[in-house]
Amino acid sequence: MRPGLSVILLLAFLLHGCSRSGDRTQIPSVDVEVDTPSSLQTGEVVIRYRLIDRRIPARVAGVRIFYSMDKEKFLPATGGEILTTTTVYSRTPQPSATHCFLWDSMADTGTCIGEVTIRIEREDAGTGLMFRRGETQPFPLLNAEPAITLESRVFDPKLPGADSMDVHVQVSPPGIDYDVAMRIVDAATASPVRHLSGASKLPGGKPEKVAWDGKDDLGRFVDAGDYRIVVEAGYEALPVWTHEETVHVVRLGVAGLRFLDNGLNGTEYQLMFHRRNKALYAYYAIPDNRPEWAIGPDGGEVSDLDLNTGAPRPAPVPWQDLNSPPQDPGDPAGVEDDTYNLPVCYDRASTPRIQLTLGSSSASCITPIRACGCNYPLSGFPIRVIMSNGFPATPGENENLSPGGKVDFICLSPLPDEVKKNLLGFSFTFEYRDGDAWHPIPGSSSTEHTVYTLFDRPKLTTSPTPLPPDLPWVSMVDLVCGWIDGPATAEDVCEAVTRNVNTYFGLRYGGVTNPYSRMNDFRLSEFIEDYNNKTFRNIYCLDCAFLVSAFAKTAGVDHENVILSSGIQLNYMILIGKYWMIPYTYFAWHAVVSRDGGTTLSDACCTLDNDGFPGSPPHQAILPVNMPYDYYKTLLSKNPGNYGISEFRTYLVR
Amino acid sequence: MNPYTLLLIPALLGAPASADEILEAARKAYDFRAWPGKQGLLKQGLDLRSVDLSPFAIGTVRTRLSPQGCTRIFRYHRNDAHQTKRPRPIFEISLQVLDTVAGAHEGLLEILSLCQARMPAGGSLGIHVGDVSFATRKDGAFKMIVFARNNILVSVYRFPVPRPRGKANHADIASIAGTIDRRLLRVGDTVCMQGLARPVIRTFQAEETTIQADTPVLLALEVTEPGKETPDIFFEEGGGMVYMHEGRWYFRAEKPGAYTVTAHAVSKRLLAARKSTRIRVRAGEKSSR
Repeated sequence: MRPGLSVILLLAFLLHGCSRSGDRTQIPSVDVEVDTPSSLQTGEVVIRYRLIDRRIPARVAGVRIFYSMDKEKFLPATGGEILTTTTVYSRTPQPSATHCFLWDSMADTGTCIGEVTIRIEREDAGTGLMFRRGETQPFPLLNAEPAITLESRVFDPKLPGADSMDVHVQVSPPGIDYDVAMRIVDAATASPVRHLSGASKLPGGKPEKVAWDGKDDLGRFVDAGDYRIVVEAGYEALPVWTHEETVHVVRLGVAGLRFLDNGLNGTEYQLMFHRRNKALYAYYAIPDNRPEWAIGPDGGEVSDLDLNTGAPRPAPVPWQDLNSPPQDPGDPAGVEDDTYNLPVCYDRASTPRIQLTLGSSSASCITPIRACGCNYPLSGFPIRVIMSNGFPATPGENENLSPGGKVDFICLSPLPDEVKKNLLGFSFTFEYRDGDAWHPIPGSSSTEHTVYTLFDRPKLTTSPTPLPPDLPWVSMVDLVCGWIDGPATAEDVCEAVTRNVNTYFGLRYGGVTNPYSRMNDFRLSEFIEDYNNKTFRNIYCLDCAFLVSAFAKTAGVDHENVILSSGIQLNYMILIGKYWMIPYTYFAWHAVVSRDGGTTLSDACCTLDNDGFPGSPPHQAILPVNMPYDYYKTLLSKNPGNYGISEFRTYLVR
Repeated sequence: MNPYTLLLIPALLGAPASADEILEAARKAYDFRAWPGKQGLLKQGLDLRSVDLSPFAIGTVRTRLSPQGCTRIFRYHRNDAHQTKRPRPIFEISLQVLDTVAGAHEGLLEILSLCQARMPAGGSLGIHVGDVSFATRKDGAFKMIVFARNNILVSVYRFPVPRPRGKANHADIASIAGTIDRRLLRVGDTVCMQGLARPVIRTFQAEETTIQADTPVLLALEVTEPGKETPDIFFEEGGGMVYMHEGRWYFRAEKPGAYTVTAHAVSKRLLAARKSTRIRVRAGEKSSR
């Protein structure tokens, strides 16, 4: 020992001895007896010990308690609940005051498995008191902790595709198998709603995925609300370790999609059905101030998103009847206006703008015919909607949603620059924000739509706000889009329409008079009715002209009916549905169509002879489509110079 | 008669230049002024459903509305065709009861004017129905017969027979036209329009003449019928919608504007009355849905 250090120790001893003269004379020892826990311990461990001080009188002093996982390195032990604040020494070991120290082992060791030793020392050590520290024998300690990782903190089990939400469970530490149980508890009532099945024995450290389908033990969807997912891990007789997380069960979904004009980037055209009910001439314009796609409660139903049973309301598929809207006897007007999916019409190459309306209510599966809320907005978890192939018209408009809210989206890509029937699909997903990050909510809503693209604004009327029957008819639009089905010029539209009127319907010339036409009146409803029933009457030229012009106007290319008169001395021709003949000596008059004020003519009624000798066999067939006026007359008649255009006929479509 | 029959018929009409002129040309070509029966009385209509046209039965009925009256189009199929999912129509009878004899004649003339070739007079083909009649033949049978009897305009049209053609498939529309005409002759008549037992629309008006878009308005409709029967009610909706809800009629329109709604009351005998009302629709709050 160095001389300097010896001097310091000596001085310290002397000073201490001066202040405690009694101790210096007796110097009794103090013993510590520590009980070693007899079984596997966890969490708060009770350490029992006794301090035996044989001095008279016994003293009061504090102790310091340490723990060690390896018997070498001792660290201060964290007290749990303090059972005794002052440690009283006793003079004899038995009976003696037994003191307890409640060790919060989890706070010190974290999750662990192993042997631990507890050491107890006098707090005022160094006073010269003979104090023999005490230790337990190493005893087993297991501190375990289950952990839950949720796929999503926000969950709508009724959202299509959200079959279940994954709950990842893992118990630490590894090395042993735990008994694991999971349950879902209603956060509001604390009543259990579902016991989740998983592996009953789970090896420590191994993650286990358990899926919750959002249903209770009876297989019913739980109502929208907050739920706690509770996991319990146990080992032998130890108290269970538990962990829980809250999941917000919400009800999300699209209740309406309304197609809108998109300014210069796209014009929507209102469509109509030519039958609203069983009667002809009762029309139905698809409302342009309501969604074209919607789900909603019919009479007696309590929710838009769900049926009264609580089951999610099926998404309507595109309405296939081209003649009339879906019927609803319970609706005053007889038209289904709650849940439907009606066709849409745009200018070609338009970029649709779509207004989405969120569902506003759900229905309980637990208590039928009971409306529930949607359980959002959620405090701290704003929700947003994302359209698969579109973006919000106003940035951020799709965030912080509330039930019944509306969001405008612009499609990412334009519709085809074609006259066409398109099937357009949208998918809507939802996300919630937790902190700075957005997290997906399982599932999505998908919709499909029939979207027709026309050449231009329909020309059935010059009115800027046409009313039925001057709106484009769904049945007509469907036919003309099917005929063209691709890119088209105005000439192409005329050609497709003329050729299809000539061949598509299987029409035959004959009978006596134009069955569907009067001079200024085209009974299109009856024509389509007969088309549907395959019961056409034989037709005449005015019917053909009306059909060509009506279809072409529907597609957006203006055509006029042109009356040629009079006394048209005929060449050979194939009247529609017939064969080569000179049908009559004369036509008193003849109706054709023109899209350019009579410069060219189209005629779906008469296929003419184009071999240079139209008045005699053989024949070379040509259907007049955009044919120069003068040339047309030379093919049609023997006396082209003796007649001409007498009138451009306007007409009503009924 | 082969398909060229009509070719042999002088078809050259006058030199018309417009719809009116075409009609005028037809007036001359068909010697309209000489048509008989112009002084006939007014017939009290005909309920075609009461006419037995066995072995045919009415399949479908269409109703056309126009300012000139109501036209009913009856399509007949064979009696036993109800066993078929979609019975094929054999012939069609179009019946219109007009307010005047002249109206029936004008209607007949319009049909004729729409023919591209002249239609032979019924008498020339052995058809003696109505005051005046016209007819065409095809494939050895009559194809169409149109005639006016007093104020009633009738058209009987035979649908094409699908191949293979068989005579048994032809309906004898000459006989059918004769049956109808005989029934018409037995129908009571009157000397003036007021004597027609037409339904009377006493009231037809909206509860409010100005309404908001998408808001239904009650239509007061009071119809009296001289007979015991209840007339059929039809509407020309003028671009909006007329519908019955809990026994009362309502009108609704989505877009602002002036709408003319016309009610037609049509008896089984096709005697009809019509009355219009105007409703102004102003912009309202857009529906939230």
